[in-house]
Amino acid sequence: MGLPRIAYRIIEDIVGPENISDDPAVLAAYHRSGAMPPSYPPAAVVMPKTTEEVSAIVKVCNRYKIRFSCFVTMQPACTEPDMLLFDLKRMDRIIEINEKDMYAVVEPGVTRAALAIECFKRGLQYPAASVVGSALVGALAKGIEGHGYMANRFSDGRRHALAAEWVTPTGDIVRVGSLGVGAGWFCPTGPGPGLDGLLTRAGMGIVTKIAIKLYPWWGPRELDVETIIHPKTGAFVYKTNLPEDKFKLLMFQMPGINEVGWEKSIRNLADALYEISKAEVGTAIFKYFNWPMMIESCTTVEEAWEKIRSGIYQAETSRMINVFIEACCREDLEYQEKVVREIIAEYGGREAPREFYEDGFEEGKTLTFDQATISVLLGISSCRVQKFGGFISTACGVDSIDTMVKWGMAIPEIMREFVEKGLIVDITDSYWIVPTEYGHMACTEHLILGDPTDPASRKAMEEYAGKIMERNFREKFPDIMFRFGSYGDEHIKRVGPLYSNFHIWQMRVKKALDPNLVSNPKFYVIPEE
Amino acid sequence: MTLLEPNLIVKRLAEIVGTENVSDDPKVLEEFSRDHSFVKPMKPLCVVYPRSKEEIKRIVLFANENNIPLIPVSSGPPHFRGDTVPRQGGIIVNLSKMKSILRIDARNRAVMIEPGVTFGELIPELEKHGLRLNMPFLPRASKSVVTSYLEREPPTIPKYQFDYVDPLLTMEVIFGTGDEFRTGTASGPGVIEEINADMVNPFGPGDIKYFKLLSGAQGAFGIITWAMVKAEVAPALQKIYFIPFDKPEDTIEPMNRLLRYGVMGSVADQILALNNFNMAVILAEKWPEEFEKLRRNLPPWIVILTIGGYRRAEERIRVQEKCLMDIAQELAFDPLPSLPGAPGKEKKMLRLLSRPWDEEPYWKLRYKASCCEVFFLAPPSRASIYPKVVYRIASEMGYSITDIGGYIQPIVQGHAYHIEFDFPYNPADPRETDIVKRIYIRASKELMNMGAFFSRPYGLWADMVYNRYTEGVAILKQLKRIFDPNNILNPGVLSIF
Repeated sequence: MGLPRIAYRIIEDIVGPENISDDPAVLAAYHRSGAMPPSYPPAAVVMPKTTEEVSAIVKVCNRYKIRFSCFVTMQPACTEPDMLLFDLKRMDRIIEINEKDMYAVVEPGVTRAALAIECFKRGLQYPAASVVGSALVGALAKGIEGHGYMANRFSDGRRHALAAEWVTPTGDIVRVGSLGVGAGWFCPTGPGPGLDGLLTRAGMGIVTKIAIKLYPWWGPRELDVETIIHPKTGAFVYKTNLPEDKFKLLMFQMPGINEVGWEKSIRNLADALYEISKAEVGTAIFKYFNWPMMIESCTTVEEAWEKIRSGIYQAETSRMINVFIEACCREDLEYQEKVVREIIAEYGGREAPREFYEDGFEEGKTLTFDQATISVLLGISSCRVQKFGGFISTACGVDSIDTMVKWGMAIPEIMREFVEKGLIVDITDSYWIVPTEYGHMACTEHLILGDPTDPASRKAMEEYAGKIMERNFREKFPDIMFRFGSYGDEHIKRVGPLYSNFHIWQMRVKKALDPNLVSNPKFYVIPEE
Repeated sequence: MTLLEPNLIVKRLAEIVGTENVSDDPKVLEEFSRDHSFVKPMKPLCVVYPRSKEEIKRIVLFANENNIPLIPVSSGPPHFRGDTVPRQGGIIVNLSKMKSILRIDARNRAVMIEPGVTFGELIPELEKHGLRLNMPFLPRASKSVVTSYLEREPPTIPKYQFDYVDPLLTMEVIFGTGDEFRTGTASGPGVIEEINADMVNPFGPGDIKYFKLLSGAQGAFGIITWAMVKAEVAPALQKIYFIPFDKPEDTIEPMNRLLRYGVMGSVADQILALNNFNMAVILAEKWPEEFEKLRRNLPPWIVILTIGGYRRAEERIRVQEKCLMDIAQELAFDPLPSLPGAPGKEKKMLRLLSRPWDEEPYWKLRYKASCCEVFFLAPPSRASIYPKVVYRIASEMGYSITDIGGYIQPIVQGHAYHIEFDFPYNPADPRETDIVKRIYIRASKELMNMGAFFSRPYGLWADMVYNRYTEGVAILKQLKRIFDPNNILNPGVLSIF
């Protein structure tokens, strides 16, 4: 059906004809076929430049009841046919980096890497919040706030946002937090009740500017990234050299699944994570995110598959803890490293072989991980994982480290039948645990790997996700272990009553703020009341 | 709707909570009719003391049926901010009998408590588990822990505070509709005993961050029946340092630096600045002789800093001290292990930082019988411009600036400052009361005009702040209609509904 012509014309007048398109060839580029949950090509794509343009377009959408979603990076998500897609890439200004107050004000299209580099120049850093998408606020605008490796010291993306400029679902411009009373960008919450509690998911309009917390950076002002040609594949390999007296990446192999079994090994690993985070050391601590991290060390998809088939990384990395230390001085680094090593030793861990750190390809070794350091700092890891394709995420949640451990207990049993049939790759341990806020919480995500071009494999991945979800219900895991927005209205209506009727409250808020239900409705919840 | 007679209201409430848990004793009503703020006094109809979630629900439903305002109160007196004074009459819902510490989770460093649990009750219990709270500076022992965190009072260990609502985690709330709701990973499934989680993630359920919406609401959206809050590891070793300064603005840059350097980015555990008046008030044992002597001898402003050692405690402290001295040398300040002007008081100061005030009167009321607070938030770059404005206005209006209590608290890992000035006054003296009230109004307006952020607009601030927040107010009103459609909960407290 497409967009009503009159609406198209008005929006064209707002942004100029060069910034709107309904050309099928263009629209196809915004559609990821085979995505789960299903997505549709947009009816049109618009690329606004300013908040005022976004506001005006959203008002048009309300007048003509056009549903919209937005996109910066990661997969576009038009969850219904005939939606208007906002591509926010033209809104890519870093408006301010306030060194004294340690925040940056950015538009949705600013990428994490671009911001990180500008911050480094000023002795600051943005703790890259996620492995998804490269656009910082775009992630926020789309509702993917993301968890980062460095959450132990900096928490995750949900804590990084400060004051914001927000175009509501009806097109009004609202300044949230201190900005709302002319007090600047430094505080997201108040006056009074925190309206920043509404700024999630594209179902609540579009964030057009936001301030992001920054932290001190003790590394070089210019990040020296070396580009090397991989001798075997000819691909580019990026390396960085950070001052050795202030930065250290440590990798430890804890007693593995093959040595002490799934349950004992994961509980032991969790105990070590608790102790390290409680000791208040380690900017980043995490249970190694098995195959996605391995992909970071590969230069080509073929190389990654080769490693998977060899079984070497499954054997070597089944229970790994990575620790990234940032220190303000040599004494700080030595202290943190000593504490980390002491705890690892107490829990039977040992340092990973040197080839895990070094340019293994030069010596013909098969495992290299150093490149992951760059990803940790810049939050760019998604690029490779995305290109790898064929994976789905079955859970992504935050609660305690122990909750993440309990959740992971069911993985091997549920996965076994699919692995034995050859429909899902044998990568049982591919879920990470990232202690957050000095171990007060932790995040997990579990990615399974299959062949999206094979219908049987694709179906198996969906079945696996369904079985995990059934088990989540059976064993009463919290809501964060479910991807509510992805499973449709009927599912929400079934589970909502179990979770404080959140679907009803959410819908009431949604209807109050989005009376025409135009703002990415399927990503929000629309049950009948 | 038939309006109930007051005596019938008491009777009906007694059916819900028992006669011993309702009071319309005039003395009790008088006590809840006013506080130390300039909010106009008004007597409630009665005070009800629920002991369970079920009773709260029934009270909320009863209030809805009969169109009677409810004013939730959890802390014991004295109250300073007008948030517990009925604006439209009604029933005080006094939660002080809900005193259970429901769970101390030492492994995850979290504690689940009912709203009547006070700092005075919780801290000794946590100490038994080797834990402490990231608590505000010297709250009264009778202060509700849940209310303090729900109202975003500034904690004294900024390194642990990841956003402005931290350390509040999950909670259970009865909305103004009478519906029960739980936030974050406590939302379900089913009853909390069955949830397969430790309930420490505050976000959600679903896409809304309810814990943020409920914070700073002064009870206008719902009544909290329990909350999970963070606790922290008590340090194995602790050292205290004092850094003297002449002016409040001079304290800011050193505090900035101490929160941007050191192990895991911060030299400091607890860190705050007090002026000599406040230091003397809290440290004096013989009143008023020692108070006057301390006030004279102490430096005008002092940054108080503690350094904590956890694992390998001595080594950690050595590293932190090295970092402290690096900064001190660069900024030319002098960190002292002893308190200048009051040697021998160091241990007492260290103790005061981790305990509530358990003496009578509350420390803010030691100098005079009442105290007016002016507090607000500022980013680091602007924190130093406001104190001189407050002193100028006080001086112009004839208030002795040596009687002003000053307190500066870095928060959210050093990303902002809570700045507070306290004006003690004698409420029996109309002239003095009038001067303080006029300072309060003029200073607040002038500070707001300069960009100071009154993020918790209590009392007379509500009108001043919300008048400037028209975009947000429209949304707040929509939310109020959802969570409390009959405007039962604390009507008038935010001035906008």
